[in-house]
Amino acid sequence: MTQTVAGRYAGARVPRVEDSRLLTGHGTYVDDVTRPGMLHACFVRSPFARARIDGIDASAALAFPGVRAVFTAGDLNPEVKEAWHAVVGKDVPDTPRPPLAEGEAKFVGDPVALVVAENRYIAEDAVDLVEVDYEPLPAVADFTQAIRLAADAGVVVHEAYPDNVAGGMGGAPPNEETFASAAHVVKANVYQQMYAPVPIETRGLVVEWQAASGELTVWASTQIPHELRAFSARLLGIPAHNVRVIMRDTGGGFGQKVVPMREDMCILLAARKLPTALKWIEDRRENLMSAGQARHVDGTVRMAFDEEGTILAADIDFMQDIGAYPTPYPVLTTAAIGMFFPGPYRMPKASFNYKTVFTNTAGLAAYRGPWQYETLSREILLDIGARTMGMDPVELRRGNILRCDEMPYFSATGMPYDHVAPADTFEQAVKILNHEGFRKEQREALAQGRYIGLGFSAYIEPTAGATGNLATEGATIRMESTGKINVYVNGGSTGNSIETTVVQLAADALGADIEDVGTIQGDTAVTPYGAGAQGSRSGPMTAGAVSEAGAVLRKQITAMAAHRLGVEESDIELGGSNAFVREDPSTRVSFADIAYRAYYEPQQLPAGMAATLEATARYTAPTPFTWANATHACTCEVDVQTGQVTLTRYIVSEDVGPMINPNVVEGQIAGGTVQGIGGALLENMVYDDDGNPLSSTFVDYLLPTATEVPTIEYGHIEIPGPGVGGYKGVGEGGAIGSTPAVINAVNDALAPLGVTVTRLPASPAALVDLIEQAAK
Amino acid sequence: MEFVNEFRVPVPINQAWEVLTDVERVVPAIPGAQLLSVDGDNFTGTVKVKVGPITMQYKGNASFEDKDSSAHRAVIRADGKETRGQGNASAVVTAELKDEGETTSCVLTTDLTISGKAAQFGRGILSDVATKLIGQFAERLEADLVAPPSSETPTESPRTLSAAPQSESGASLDLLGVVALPIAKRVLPVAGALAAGLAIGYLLGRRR
Amino acid sequence: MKAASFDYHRPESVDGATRMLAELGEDAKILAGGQSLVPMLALRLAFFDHLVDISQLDELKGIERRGDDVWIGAATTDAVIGDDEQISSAVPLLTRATPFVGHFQIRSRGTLGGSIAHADPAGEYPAVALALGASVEAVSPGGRRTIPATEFFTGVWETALEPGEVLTGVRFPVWTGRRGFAVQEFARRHGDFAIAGTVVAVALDSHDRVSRCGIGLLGLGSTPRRASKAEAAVVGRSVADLTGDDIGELAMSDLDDIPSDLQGSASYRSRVGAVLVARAWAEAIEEATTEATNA
Repeated sequence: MTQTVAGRYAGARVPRVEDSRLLTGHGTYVDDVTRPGMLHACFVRSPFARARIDGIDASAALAFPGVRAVFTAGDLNPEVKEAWHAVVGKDVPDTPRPPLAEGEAKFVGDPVALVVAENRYIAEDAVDLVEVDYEPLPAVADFTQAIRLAADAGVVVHEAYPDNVAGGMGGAPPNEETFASAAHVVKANVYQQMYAPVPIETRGLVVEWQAASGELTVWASTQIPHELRAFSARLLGIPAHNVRVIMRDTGGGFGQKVVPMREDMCILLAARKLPTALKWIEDRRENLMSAGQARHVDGTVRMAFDEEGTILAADIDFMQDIGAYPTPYPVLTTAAIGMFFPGPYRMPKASFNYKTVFTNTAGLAAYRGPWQYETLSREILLDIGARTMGMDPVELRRGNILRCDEMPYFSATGMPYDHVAPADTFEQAVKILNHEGFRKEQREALAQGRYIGLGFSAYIEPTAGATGNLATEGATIRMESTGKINVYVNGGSTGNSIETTVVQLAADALGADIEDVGTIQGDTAVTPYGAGAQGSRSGPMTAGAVSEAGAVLRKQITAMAAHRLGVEESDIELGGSNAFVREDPSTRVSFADIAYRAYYEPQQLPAGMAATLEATARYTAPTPFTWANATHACTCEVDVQTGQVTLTRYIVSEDVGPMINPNVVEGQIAGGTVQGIGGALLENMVYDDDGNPLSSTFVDYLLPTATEVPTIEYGHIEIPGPGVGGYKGVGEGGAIGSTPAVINAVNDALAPLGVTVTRLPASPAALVDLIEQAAK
Repeated sequence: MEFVNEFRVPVPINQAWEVLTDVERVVPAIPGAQLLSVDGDNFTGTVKVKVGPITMQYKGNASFEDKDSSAHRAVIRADGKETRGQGNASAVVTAELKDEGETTSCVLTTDLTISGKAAQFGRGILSDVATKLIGQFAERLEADLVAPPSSETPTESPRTLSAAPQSESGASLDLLGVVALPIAKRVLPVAGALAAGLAIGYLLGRRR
Repeated sequence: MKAASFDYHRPESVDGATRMLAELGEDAKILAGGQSLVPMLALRLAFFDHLVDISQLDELKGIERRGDDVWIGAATTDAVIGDDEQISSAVPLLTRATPFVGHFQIRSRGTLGGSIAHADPAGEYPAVALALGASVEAVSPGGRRTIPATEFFTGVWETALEPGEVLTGVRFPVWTGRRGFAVQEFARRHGDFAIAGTVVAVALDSHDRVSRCGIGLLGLGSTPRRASKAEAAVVGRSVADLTGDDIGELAMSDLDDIPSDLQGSASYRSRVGAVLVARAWAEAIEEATTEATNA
């Protein structure tokens, strides 16, 4: 494995290169893109959770001034050539995903027709004029009833799945003997609500088809520019080299923009029928109702312990709601919940079983640690176990959490953990929190009638998973004719600071001043293929790619410099955008001069030396997963009169290996943590009994704001991973560990009242209800 | 969503039953409701409902699904579509009369299904609108049965009413601030229930 | 979320506004701060062919002591009210309620008149107007009139204003003597619509008996409400004999249309309302008993 060069920048809190344009309002988001004669799209969406579509009359809409077209399923859907996604591959049959609703609307917000007009105002006026003849049908709104409704009442979401079950999987069955004979067994039904990624920038696309040249240009709000290009090419049956996807800035993705979905398909298909570019920018209501939702799992978890509280076995049996149009392929992606359920603990036996069911709601999308339910249910159960056995939850975890010297460790579900020390992050969290001090404070508070509590949650997370197209990452690094360095990677940064980290790494790899390094990302015409920003892969994978490409370019620079300075290559050192003789630093040549010679005076290079000052490399991940780990700890106070929860401290003790940029690491953790806090206390995508989405605006869908979240404290432990630089992924962890830490803190606070929250979110009304129930 | 309302009228049951079920004798008297056509037990109409700055106009049809004159039980089904694409509302209203000699009590059970924008908010602005609205309808019905206005000459059906007789035809239903205008108030029970249902649909207190 | 098209008008005077509204009829709507109306337009829940902007009319701005009242012009923004020293000493309940009105961005455009005329059941200013027995002034082509707050709020987003009538100002009575004021509100997050809230004004005589009490409730009905029963029960009583919990319970007891929605059931709101009244009572009494007599 290539070694990184000890650098000035890696590990430093380098200010983000993205910030100056973003914070001054000069980012280029997809809505900033305007093309000559550009038209605007707006979807007609079903107001019913389920309805037969008997006809669509667009005549009034078409007659409205400024309307250019109204497309229905008959216009667009037959044009689809191929619609498979990389994450599943072309051979695995996927769940239905027609661009526009065909014959039946299957959720409120289901796109039924597409209006194209001169501007979005007119398009929205025209949407109101499209007459759709709906015949409302009974709908499945509650996923826990989906199977029963199919069986008893014939209410089926997709005809091809008459039992409403998309699929399921089970590992080896639970070892009931262990459960029967164990000293302690605890069981809980944990219900997690549906909530959503809610990026600050909603989805959007500008598609321009130039029929004369057969070229398609797509500007997108996306995490995966290259795969969007490949998908678009397949969809339309045009060569991928005629498709260009450009993304500059994207305001958050979190998994909602990791797969092109039905509206994207519609815009791509419609654009080919229009003479000018077509823009679609989703509004917030559409995003909340139809961009894809997440979590929504109902399950039963069990754990068996011996007399001392050592875990003997655990079992998880759950059902996940995948809505009507989940992202591909839901049965597989849900398996992760079962596979990661044992977490960072010594657990000899673990079993899982699950089903994924359809409902007449939007559809499951990936969301920052999509398997989060495994940590949520396990960590809540551990605390329940601790209280049942009369142990402090800290003691229980301490006795069971995996130590560094146990690595590599094969979990009971076959996951090969390595390069982590969960016990270390755990103990660091305990220390930062001052666990004993808090318990004292808690006793005193209780004596005054105040309820405060602490919650821990530990997890182990697979980052940089090397499956399919995610297993490699490409980088091209070029020294331009001016001596400046440009790094080309596929991009997909939606706030993950990939521009900054890549620039830091490249500067180190080449001994350049950071001001002399730039990066170009997100344009498929000029960047190498990459799977994009997903699965917490960008940090470790771009580090590997930059390292490999950098090593080659470094050699080229060194060779040219050595010749120029009349020394051996081994005498040359690179630093400060100069190549200099190690023993005599004043003997040097600048990168600018090296480049000038190579580009403008190549005849001065020695015979046989290519004038090349660029390198392309493709890095392959060394292991199937790069494991990262953290412990979250949280303290709270619960006002038992109103049920309001106030978080007083929040600590993340994490190990993502060496940090390329601690600011970036902390930013990623903070963002995920706040999302998890939202999931514990505030965010809730509610559907009523008729399948109407109630949380369709920010009045009802509540995101945490700065006033709900305490300052997050960090503890860093750096255990190198197997890849270049030892860097591990950090994108998703914050969102995984946080929700259970908050719930455990609430449960710890309310334990004296006999209250245990196992149904999320822990809203004030829900807590008051539990408190009143427990008092009876 | 289900609502149950009860009211009492000071007339014997048969008289109450006649008024409640004879479409041809009744004209829209609920402010905001306008009858468009009648065809036996089926009719079409519009209802305009206003709550503060928000106005919803529903256009739809209603029909008697059941008329049991011996049990004094009628079931009306109403379906309306908001004219600006705001959604739909449908209601099944079951009216049951109870004989109390000189008076009759009426129980209205309304089963309401709402869709569209109206149904996509969680803030229960008007948890009591349904009760108030149906309560208002009940008051009008009661008042109407106490002092019925002169009947109109029946015409052959089907027919379309080109103009509604009152001065406030087409005016919105201001739910809670009804101005007392001197008008002949004939109650259209089904339009009333439709109005109630559709108004609820907009105004919505969720069944929780 | 683009509003349907409308024509924008900006009359030069209040009289001009009332004439314009009379002419344009029910397809016109008054625009002040727009903090409640514009979202409804953007969501296409509300449609108006004409918006008549009165936010810049100087006649509608100002804060003046008029006899025993403070008059506040309808187009005065929440931010100005929250910062005003005269209001802070004469009508402290307004000052203390202001930070609960949305967020500061909203307050810099939202107006007192708009808040009162919009009459949101969870609005803070309507509850203050009700608790203090304020008077609402309005103008139409037919003339001027004054409507007591107790008759003003008739339903959700419904007031006693006639179509085309412009609310020009609100007069808030100034309480003198040993006074105490408190605002308690419970919302999911800072700035959200209140799940329940209360504004309490109390005045004590020299023997620590309650001489006057106004308890306004928000978020607990289809309009702001006065806890009249609780008020009647405390007037004349000695502070030492009264407990906040009892007053809280009493305040909830004659509420008959507490909302039930996504954020909580009616019984939950009632529980929270009682707690908030108890807390506000304690705070107001604390202020009144420790305060020297104020003019």
